[in-house]
Amino acid sequence: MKNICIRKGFINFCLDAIKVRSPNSITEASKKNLLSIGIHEFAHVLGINGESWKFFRHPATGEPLTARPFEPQLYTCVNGERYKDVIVPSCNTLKQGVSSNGMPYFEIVTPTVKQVARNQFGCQALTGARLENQPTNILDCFGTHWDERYFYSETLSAYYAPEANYFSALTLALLEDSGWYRANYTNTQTSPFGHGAGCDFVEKECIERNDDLPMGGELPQYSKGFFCADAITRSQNGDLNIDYTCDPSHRLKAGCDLIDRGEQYRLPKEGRYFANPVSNISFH
Amino acid sequence: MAQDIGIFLLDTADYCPIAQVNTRDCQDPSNNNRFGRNRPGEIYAEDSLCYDSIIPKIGDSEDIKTSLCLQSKCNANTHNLEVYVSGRTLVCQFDFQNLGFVYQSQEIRFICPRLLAACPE
Repeated sequence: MKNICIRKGFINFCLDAIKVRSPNSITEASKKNLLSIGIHEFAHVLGINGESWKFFRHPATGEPLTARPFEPQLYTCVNGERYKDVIVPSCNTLKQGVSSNGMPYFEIVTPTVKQVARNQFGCQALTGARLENQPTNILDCFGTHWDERYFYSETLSAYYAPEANYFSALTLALLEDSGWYRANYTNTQTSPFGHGAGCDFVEKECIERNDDLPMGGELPQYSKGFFCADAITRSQNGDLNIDYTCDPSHRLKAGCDLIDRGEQYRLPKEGRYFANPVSNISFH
Repeated sequence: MAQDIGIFLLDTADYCPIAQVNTRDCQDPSNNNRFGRNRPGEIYAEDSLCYDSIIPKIGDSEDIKTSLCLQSKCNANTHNLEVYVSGRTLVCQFDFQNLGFVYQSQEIRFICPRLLAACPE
């Protein structure tokens, strides 16, 4: 049993933050949310964690995918900082890349994950599934979640919303490719975000520059239904004007999270998709 | 400014704009007439889905660009999306197809979603 793996973890729920309906009960929605969050966190315990990639083993042979003994090195992590004593997973597990907006990222390239990602987007040229490149933990060198930009509706993306919470084959594929588990895909759900959108959805930017338009940008065909470009505006009396559209799952009406947030919230340059000078400064 | 309408800044989505603000669940029946009267033809029900729509102007007002919750069924045999509205069944056969129905003399237009996103299974 050379590929045996014993894992342990802790999940802390802040009880004070749970909405209580009466002294002894919580709402069904709260229960559902807590269960989903528990599933997300438990998947981290099982091995979906930036610290785990280097320990992955070949599912058939049990051989380590990253050579032993480990060789710590000085390494530039996804946040651009250089750190000492980083153990870099083998290139059969993790690869580095640069996205269309210039941001570095890491992607999981193990065989099952790669194939599931290709099927998700309908893009057989994909080399893997990208990890979140705005790490939620400063000690996280490579990424621990699926990147929100590509996998918004996945349970194992960093941001939780009840409507964006699909436990997908991608997540089980990663657990299976760890070499520690055999996955049963029967109960997985297909995540709607980016489903069948093609290679452009992955390789190009979510908003296409167009200087002829008032905001200086528009939704390209591959982004329609997944991203949005109708800004929320504020009337003179301060009321918000929301043009309702649909969320990516089409289960909800929703407003686009594009709004003038003021000079103090100027976005980093990789987040400025609109050419219009006002938009450049202040639109999310 | 963003916080007062509950926007969670999706820096993790590389700041790409996503429709996720002030959500109204089409599949929650308790939402019927909860935000004022339902829009033309719409029903909040367990089998409803959201459709981008245009409600034509009345008098001097502008056309209203909005979304509607319409009862729907993903037909796994035909790979079409069936929409039940105003006593009729309309069929989405391809992505972003334009369809319409008449509701109290108003001609309402709506846009079919990407079928692989609305019916991912």
